[in-house]
Order: sequence, then C-alpha cells, then structure tokens
Amino acid sequence: MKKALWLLASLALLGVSAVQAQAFVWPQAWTTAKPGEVKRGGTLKSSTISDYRTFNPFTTAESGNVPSLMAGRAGFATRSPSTGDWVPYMAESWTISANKLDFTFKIRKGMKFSDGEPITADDWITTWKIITDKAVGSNARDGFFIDGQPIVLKKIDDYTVKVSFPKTDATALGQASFTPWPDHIFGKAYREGGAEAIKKMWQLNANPAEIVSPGPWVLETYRPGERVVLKRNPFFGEWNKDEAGNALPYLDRYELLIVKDTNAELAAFLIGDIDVYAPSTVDQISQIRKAVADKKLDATLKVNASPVASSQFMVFNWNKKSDPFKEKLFRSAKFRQAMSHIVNRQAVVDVVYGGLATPTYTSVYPVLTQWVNPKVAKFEYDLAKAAKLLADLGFRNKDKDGYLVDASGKRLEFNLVTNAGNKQREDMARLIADEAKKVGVKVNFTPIDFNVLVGQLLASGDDRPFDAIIIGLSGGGLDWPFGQNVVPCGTNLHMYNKSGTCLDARETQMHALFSRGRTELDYKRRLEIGNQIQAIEAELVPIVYIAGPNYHPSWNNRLGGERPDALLKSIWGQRDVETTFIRK
Amino acid sequence: MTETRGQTLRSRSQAQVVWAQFRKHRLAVWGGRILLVMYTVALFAGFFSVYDPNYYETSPPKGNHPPSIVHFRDPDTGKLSRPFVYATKREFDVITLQPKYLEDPAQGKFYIHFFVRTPEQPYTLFKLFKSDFRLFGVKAPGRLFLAGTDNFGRDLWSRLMYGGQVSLSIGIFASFIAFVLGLVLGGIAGYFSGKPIKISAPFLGKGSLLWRIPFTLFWLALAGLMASAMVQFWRVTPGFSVADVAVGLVGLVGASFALLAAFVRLVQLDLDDLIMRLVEIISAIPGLFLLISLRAVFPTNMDALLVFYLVVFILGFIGWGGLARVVRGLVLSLREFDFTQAARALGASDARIIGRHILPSTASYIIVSLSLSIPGAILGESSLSFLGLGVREPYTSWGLLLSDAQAGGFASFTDRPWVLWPGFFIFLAVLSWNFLGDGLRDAFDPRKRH
Amino acid sequence: MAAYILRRFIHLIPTFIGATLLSFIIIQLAPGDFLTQRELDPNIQPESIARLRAQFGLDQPTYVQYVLWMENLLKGNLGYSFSYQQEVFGLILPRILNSLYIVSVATILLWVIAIPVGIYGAVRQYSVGDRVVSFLAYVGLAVPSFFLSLIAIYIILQVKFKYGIQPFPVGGMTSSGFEQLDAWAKFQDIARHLVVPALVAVSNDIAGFSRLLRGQMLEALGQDYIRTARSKGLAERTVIYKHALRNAIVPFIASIGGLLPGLISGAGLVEVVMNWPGVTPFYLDSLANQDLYVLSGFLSITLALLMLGNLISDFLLAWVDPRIRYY
Repeated sequence: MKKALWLLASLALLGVSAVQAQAFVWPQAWTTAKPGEVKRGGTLKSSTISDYRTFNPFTTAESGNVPSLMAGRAGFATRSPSTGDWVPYMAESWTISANKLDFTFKIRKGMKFSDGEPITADDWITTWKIITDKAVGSNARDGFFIDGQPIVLKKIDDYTVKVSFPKTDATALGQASFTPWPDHIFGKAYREGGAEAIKKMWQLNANPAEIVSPGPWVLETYRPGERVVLKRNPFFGEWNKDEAGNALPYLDRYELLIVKDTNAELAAFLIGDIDVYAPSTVDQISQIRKAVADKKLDATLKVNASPVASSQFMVFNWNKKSDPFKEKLFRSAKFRQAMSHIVNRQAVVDVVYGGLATPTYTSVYPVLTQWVNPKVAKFEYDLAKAAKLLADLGFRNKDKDGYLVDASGKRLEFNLVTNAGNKQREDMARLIADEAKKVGVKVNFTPIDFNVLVGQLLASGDDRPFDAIIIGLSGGGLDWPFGQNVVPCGTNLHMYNKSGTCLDARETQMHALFSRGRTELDYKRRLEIGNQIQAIEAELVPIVYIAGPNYHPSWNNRLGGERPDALLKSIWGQRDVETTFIRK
Repeated sequence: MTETRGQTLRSRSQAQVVWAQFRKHRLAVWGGRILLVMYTVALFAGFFSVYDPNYYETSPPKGNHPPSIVHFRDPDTGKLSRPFVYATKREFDVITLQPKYLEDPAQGKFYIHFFVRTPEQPYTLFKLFKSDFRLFGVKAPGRLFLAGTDNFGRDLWSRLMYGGQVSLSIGIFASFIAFVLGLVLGGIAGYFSGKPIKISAPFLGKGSLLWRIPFTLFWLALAGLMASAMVQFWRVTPGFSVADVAVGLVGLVGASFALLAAFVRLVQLDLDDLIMRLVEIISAIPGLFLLISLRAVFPTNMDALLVFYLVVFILGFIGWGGLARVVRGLVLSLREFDFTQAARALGASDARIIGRHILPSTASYIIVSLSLSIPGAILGESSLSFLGLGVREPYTSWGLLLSDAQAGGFASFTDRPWVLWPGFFIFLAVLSWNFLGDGLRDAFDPRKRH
Repeated sequence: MAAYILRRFIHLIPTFIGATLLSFIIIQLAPGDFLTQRELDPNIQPESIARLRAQFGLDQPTYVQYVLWMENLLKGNLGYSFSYQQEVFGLILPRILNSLYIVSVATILLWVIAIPVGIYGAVRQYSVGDRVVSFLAYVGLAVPSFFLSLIAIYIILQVKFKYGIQPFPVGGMTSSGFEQLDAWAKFQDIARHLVVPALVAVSNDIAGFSRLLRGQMLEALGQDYIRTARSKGLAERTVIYKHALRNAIVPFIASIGGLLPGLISGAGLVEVVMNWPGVTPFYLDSLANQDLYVLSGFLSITLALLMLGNLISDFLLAWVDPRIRYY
C-alpha cells in the first residue's frame, strides 16, 4: 500500500516537472510586481456595475461576464501590453501558410481545466462548433465570419489545430484566440441535446461545483445581485509562472461586488470594501484625492492616465428624401465642417467631463496612439470659420429672429436628439445648440427614449426619420481600429448613410481602403492605409466627433502588482489579476 | 356648559368655525403662509429670478460657482454701504481638481440694483406677457448667484424659481384628476354596492327609450370588441379566407344574440363589482412602464413640459384607485346612517342622496387627503427625476435639480453644498403641505372643537 | 354572504385576465424590445439580431405572445427571461426574499414606532411633545428616500474618517467572506447591513401612519362610549388602550390585506442607493432591458396578491364593521 502511494507521488512529481517545461512565463515587463516581494493568498475585491445574467460562455451577452473573468487571457495567443504584439499563450507556437490563410497552432501540453481534465484540440473544435451554431444564438458568432464566409477549424491531432480563414485578415490572430471551453462538458451535452441543451447549461442557479474553467479563476459562490466569488484554479499555476517560477495567480480569491449605484460604488472604495476602482467623474476623483490627502484612505489614483477607447459624436442623416433642403445640407461636407467648427470641445470637456476628457476629431480614439494620424485636418471650434462656410453655402442673411436664411428665405434649422437620461450627452447637445444659435443656426434639441433613438438611427433606406443624433460608440482594436460594421457603406452602423450604397466619392474611397486595410497583413502598410482613411474622414466629416472621457485607474495600496506607469492605459487596464498580490 | 357653546357656534357660519379652529393650529398657519409665498414666487418666477434659467457663458466659464458673497460694508471706509458683490476669477483646487472662485476686487464693486430691466434676457409671464422687469440684479460683468451655479454655470437661484413652477403645480395637477375620478367612481361603487343594474338586451327590454339607448350602445360596443378581437386572431391563423371569417362572425353574433334574448334576466351588472375590479385592473398597470410608453407615444418635437404634464395627467387618470376604495368604504357605511335612510324614506332620488347627503359628509376627508396627496406627488416627481423619467431639459424642477445633486454624490455635500437647495425646498413644501393638511383635518373635525 | 364570497372568487378570473392583458399591451407599446440595445454593438450583424428576435418570439404579434404566456402560466410557468435565459420564478424568488428582510423589519418598526406616536399625539393633542414628534415624523416623510439614503452613506463615511470606526456598512446585504461564516455570524452580518436601509425605508412611512392613527384616536376619544367609560370611573389607561385604541385601529386591521402586495414589491429606491439586492433594482433592470416576461411575471404575482389582499380586506371590513352589509 505504502509503496503504491510512493509510486503515485513520484508519478505526480514527474508530471509536474513535465508540465514545468511547458509553462508560460508572465513577463516582468507587464507588471510592477517583483517575484521576490510577492505574497501568496488573500482576496482581491473589485466591483461591477450590472448583475450577471448567466455563467454560460455561449449565451452570455454582456461585457465583463463571468466566463470571460474566469478565463482571463485564455486563447491561442495573447496580446502583450509591453509590446502590443500577439504572443503565444495556450499555443506554444504557430505557423502561417504561404497564402496567409491557414494558421496552424501547436497547443501547449500539460494545460488542465479546473476539474483536472487536460485541455486539448477537441475543446477548441467543440467551442467553435457551438458558437457558430445559429440555434445557440451566441454573441461571438459573427466574429467567425468574414464578409459572410466562415472561419473553419480543423483538428490535426490532439495538440494541433488548423484555423482556415476565407480571406487574409489583419485581425486573424485576435479572431483565432478565443477561449476553449471543455469538450467533456459542453461537447457531450451538445452531441446529446443539441443547441437547446447548451442553452440550459450553467445558468445562474447552477451548482458552482459544475462550472469548469480553463483560466486562472473558477466560480466559488454567487449571490444574486450581490457578489460573485471566484477561487483560484489549482491547475492554472502548473502552466502559468512568474519569472521566478512561482505559480500564478498569487491570490486565492477574486471577488466582484455588484454595485448598481455609482455613489454606492465610490463609498465602497472609500471605506475599503473594494480594492480597485476607475472613477469616471471629477466628483468621484475629488472624493478620493481628498481622502488620500487627509490620510483617511491609503490608495493610489492616476488622474488622466490615458483617454478611454470611446467617443461621443454627432451624426447627420444623409437619407432624407422627403426633405430635399435638409438632405442637400446634410450631404454637404462644407456644412458638416461648419458644424464641427461650432462644437466647442473645450467647453464640452469643461462642463460635461469636469476638465478630464480628450477632444476627438476622427473615428480613431486618441488612446490608440500608434494609429492616430497627427497630420489630419481638424475643424476646431471657430464660429467665424463656421459662419464663413455657411455663407459659402448661401446662408448670408438673417431673419427677424436672428437665424440664417438662404436666398429663398428658408431658415437654417435642424432637430438634434439624444437619449434621455444620459446627462453627459444632453449637456453636449445643449452646448452645441447654444453655440449654433450664436452663428444663426437653429438647433432644436430634444432628449428622446433610447430605444426610439436606436430605431431612428438604424433605420435604413433613403428616407430616415431623424436630422442629427448625438451618440457614442466604444471599442476599436489595435490590429485594425476601424469598425467592420461602421466604415464600409451598407453596413449596419454606417450611421450617416443607410441607403445601402456609397453616396459620396470619398465615402467609396474609404469603403475600398477599409477592405484593403483589413486584409493587409503588413503592419506598416496597414498603418499607412489607416492614415489615408483618417485623412479622408477628416475632410469629409461624415461624423462630427466631440470628445471622449479619460481613464483614471485607482487602487487601494494594500494591492501590489499594478502595471508600470508607461503601460497604465485604458486598453491594458490597471493590472493583470493573475500577477496581483496583497501587500498586507 | 356645552349648551352655551353650542349657541355661540351656531351664530357663526360653518366656514368661520373652521377658520377659527384652523388658526389655532400654529404650524398649519405657518405652513399655509410658506406655501402662499412659494406659490406666489413660482407664479412670478421671471420677476424673482436674476437671470434666464438657461443662460450661461462659456468664456469665462462660471460652472459650479458658489453663491456670491454679498457685502454690506465698504472695505475701504469700513462703513455700511449699499449691498454689492465682486467679480470672480476661476482657479482649480490642487487636491479636488474642482473649480474654485476667488473674489477679484480689482474689477470694482457691483452694486445690487432693485427693480432692474434686462432687455437682453426677457421672460414671459403666464406664457402670455413679455417682460424684462426683475426684482434685482447686478451689472455685467459682475454676476449675482444667490444660490450658486450648476456645471454649466447656470444660475441656480433662477432655476429654483422656475423649477418651483413644475414641482409645485405637478402635485395639484396629478391629485386633482385622481380625486375627481376617485370621488365619483368610489361614490357610485359604494352607493350602488349590492344593487345590481339589470342590463336589457339590445333594442328590446323594459324601460323608457332613453334607458334603452345606452344599453344598446353597450351591447354594440361589446359585439364590436369581440368581432375585432376575432378578426385579429384569424389574421394570424393560416388557412382561413375572408369568407370563412365573415360566416364565422355572423354565426357568432347571431348565437350570442339568441343567448341574450333567452337569458336576459340573468344579465346583471353590479356597478360596485365593475368599478372595484376596474380598480384592481388599473392598479396592476406598471406605472413606470406606462410612463416610458407614453413618453414615446408623443411626437418628439412636442414641448417637453407639455409632454410631462400630459404624462402626469394620464398617471393621475390611473391613480384614482386607492382613493376610490376609501370613498367606497366611507359611502358604504354612510348610506346605512340614519340621515340617509331618512332621506330615502322621504323619497329622495339616488342622485340627490349622493349629492346632498353622502358627498358632503366625505368632504372633510377629501380636503384633508387632498392636502396630503399633493406633497406625495411632489415627492413622486423627485423620484421620477431620479429614475430619469421626470421633466426634461431645458425645463427644470426641484426633483430634477435634486437628482443632479444626487448624481454628483458626496461631492455635492463637500465641494458644492449649494446644490442641495432644491432638496431644502422640496422638504419645505412637503412639510408645509402636511401641516396645512393636519390643521385642516383638525379644523373640520366637529368633535374636537373646544 | 356565501353568495357574495362565491361571486368575488368568480370575479377574480376576468380581473386577472384584463389586468395582465392591459399590462402586456402597455409593455409592448414601449418602443423597441429586449434586443434593441444590442443593435448598437459594432460586432453584431443585423441578421443575428433578427434571428434572436425570432427565437425569443419577439417577432410575433402581441396577442399571440400573450396567449402563449397565459398558456404557460396555467401550467405554472411564469415565463422565461430573455436576458437571463432562465425561468422567471427562480430569478424573482431570491430577490423577493432579500427584500422581505427590509420590508418585514420596516413594517414591524413602523407599527412599533407609529402606534405609540399616534396615541401620544391624540392623548396629548397640541402639547409640545405632540408638535415635536409630528415635526420629526414629517421630516422623515419630506426627504425623498433616495436622497436620505445618500445622506446616510455620507454620514457613515464621515464617522469612519473621523473616528476610524465604521458604525454600519455603506451598502449591500452581506460582507465579503459571508459564505465562510457560521449561521449565527451570518445572521449578525445581515442584521448589521439591515439597520440603515430599514430605518430609511420606515422613515418615509411613520408620518402617514401615525397621523392617521392620531386622527382615528381623536375621533374615538370623542365618542359617547368613551365618555361613558370615563364616567364609570375606569382608569385612563384602560379607557385609552382598551376602548379607544381598539376602535381606532379597526381601519388599519381592515387594510391589512393591502400589505400583501407590498411584501413582494420591495422597499423602493433605498434598495438602489444602498445596493441592497432586492426587488427594486432587479425590477428597474428588467424595465430598462424590456425583459418582457420578468416584468409580466412580477406583475402577475403582485396582481394575485393584490386581489387576494383586497378580498381579505373586504371580508375583514365586513367582519369588524357590522354596519356594512353585502348582498
């Protein structure tokens, strides 16, 4: 008996040493945590604004969902915050075929799910199959199609997967680096019960013991509307090490407090109930800075660390067949340039964001520094230039109310709407309407219900109901920052023109450049195409960009392992939870 | 003892008695006075405000400006002087990063003038008369912010004046419609409880022609409703032609007529049941959702204030249920009282009994609960604003201003406490209305007159 | 009476159908649906949205959706939440239980505080004490609960900053590490979290209740039988508690049925600001998401309890007040 135990133990040791050879080493450059000073154990307490809806990775629709929290960076490749490049993660390495269409990934050996089952090629294949099944309705499905043609996965052997793309794609590695979910759980259910069986799995009332994760965390408890507690996946540390060879993550638990109210969230941070926080307004920042200055709170706050990858903008409707006067106006680049001139972005930053925001001029968010074309034209706040442009369009005289009229006496007037309840957008609209009045443009601003707004914005055809809308988008990748649903004509979020075809020659140019850029694998040349798109965009002003908020990461000083200052940006976040540790 | 008091009381009219009694409740009298002031000021908001409620300037910015300090003493001579303010310069606090404003005596003193004209910022009184006559003001570039400014730099004092128009009127508006409906329907339900009305078949039946017309209409409406519902269902059920539908309709209507003719005596309608069940149905309507739906139904270019009043009006329309239940209960017991029984014995009509005997007996209850439901509506308006369903910009209300303060969170307490003024005004209005209601209740209660 | 009861029970059916149908229509009247908000996601194709819409049955006419829902309801199934992809009842139940903590404590507190206050106000009418107490009660009423909650959190923060001790948690229902506690410690933990929200919730209601009771007591004290009782030489205490209060409290007993729907409708906005995982934040979330069946599930439970409550009220009213006759 004893002998048998010995044998088992030595086998386990052998296993460990075999695994160690396969480990992924988290680069020191990603974090300020020094392997020598880290402590093990403890709980990181964070918060989230909305409650979770499911633990099912295939039906989840919200951002920051539990499956993605559990999975961490899980995927073939992961993006390095220090270089911005894709580095092998769950794959040891990959090869690309000569035609740049086939990516063959060698899967790292010795990786295990949290229930101890090995992670192999079947898990990727099953995940891909389930996501692409229409009947499951997964949010991730559209990512597996390029212009309607599917990305196909093929298992070569247990530790090799070939991913074939229908056309060359700049974002290929990002698309291929999805999280594998266990075949022995989902694959089994899928083969037996199809899509319906998948949809019923891992709902909020599921027993946490049934939930299995490939990443650093696995569900421990969930209290509806209150808190999710994740515990360390004991097998994750076998293939994830810091540079000194310590198993990751350092922490035992990762808790997320569900806080719907922003004031309650701030209170929780001030009183020490949560460790990390990203204040979004100057009011929140003032409370933290004051508490820190008065030595009531031992925390760090980096004000204006970087812009956030999002922007608010005003979009004019090019499809107004029933109102030719307005249609002609909104399709005129000069008019839109004039409208850009009346947007007092500094006042927006001041009034709406309390001084902590960044003005924007193109669809590339300022945080994606390498992609921003610094040489593009900027139609900055300048009422005189706006008046001149409008005069060029024939609006020279003013009527008795002080508004500009054209030669036929028609008043320069349009309706501006945004979603009611979004105070920031309402304030922007008010600023724009008041500035417009100064040059003699009558802007009728009304806040309307969000769903009505979306309905109007996404209506298609050559006669759409709205004049101008203020709304925001976020996202934008580092591989190719232009939205595939946004830039090409005829796509769903091509908001200014939803007639289905390009109406302006420059619009057509942008459409073509987008396709070229998306399929261009050479980074330098892709950057060049991106700059061209921005140059056209800046002249055409299809969308009048206004401003986006800044990122102000903050954490309680009992935590260690945040990013070095140079990497402290909204796109990378303040830390990897894997390399976070508790100082005291 | 009681005899003599009774005689002196009788020599005064009912109103005088109530008034004398009311004046004894000192808090109620104060409540009444405060409300009088508030409503007057709100009515003449333009006159009492210093600036247009939506006026602000972007250069130099005046966002989150604290209340101006009014000086009464000349700093050079140290003597009392006409009240004046200084212009201010903006700086940023190094710790909080919030703006702060320092007085800048270099720009000179700006004396407060009374009864000024501001032609560049006119206002309209009662939506009719244009005016630019204001109680007080200072010359530009000096600024008089009695209650500070908001994030735009709009004068909160002026916004409070205008916000009061919405907050103070909304209560009266919402309560009024709910009360009329609740009173009438609750009264009918209580009075006719247990006395079902027999519904005659269409075109036939007993009673005068005048009596038959409403019933005929009732049946026609019912038939129409059924028919349209059926057509709707058929439209989504495949395999039916228009002819099928027509045949089915004719058959169904015929059958129901036959049934009605045969069992007409069984068709009875108890108004109490009908109204009380209606109350239950209506109370099940999700009010918040109705609000969202209604918001979307009105055209977007409609005046925001008008939309809000309409919405409140409709909410009042569904808010009469609770009151109807109470009135019904009152009437249920009142109609068994001796005086109603006596009136009935004397041959008084139902309408007369309700109008002359029952409703007046509920009057004191009504007045009191009206004065208590108005502050409820004022608080309700603030909750709606908190949820983003209240009145919208450019209009404002105390609830909207308070929810702005709430959105600012703790910074509203520490960095700019002046944004809490709307909370104080809500508090004062609700308190005053409640004391007024209290006083009225005591004044109307005949048993407590001593 | 038996016929009356029978009739009331029969009437429950059309009322229920009418109310649910009406609510259903109103929910559908609102623009857009559950999927509208996903349409703005740059990564989702419109075809995917259309497919999901068909899957959820949101492309069907309202009455078809209603009939299907009713059919499920008769089978004891409240429906299926779009956003949670789970049965509604299982989602609602924990929220209702969480809210019940606040609601039950607040209701008990209400009776414990408001009844003595009301009696005191009637027995010592217009005394200094009466004025002070009624003023305090109205202060509680006159501050909107969402704002009162924020003030409470602010005070707790200031106490913590000033004295280094935290009297109560600033929000939530449980502390971190709750699952590891034993039963007694769990109870204490929830109780500690409960204090502030329950106080905020009750402060809004004390004034209404106590003033009504005061009015009823005054009325009862003015009645002939009280005079008779007093002239019989009964102790004042006996007169007040045994005779006056018993009669004054009748309308409140009769309205006890109205408490039923209140038990599940949550404690209101205090739950949102104090981050209590109760019914209100959940309901507001569902409203914002237009999660149709969660809303109608909620409504039908509330409605059922409301109808039942009204029924009980009416029976109680008939029972305690023999002057009221039914046919």
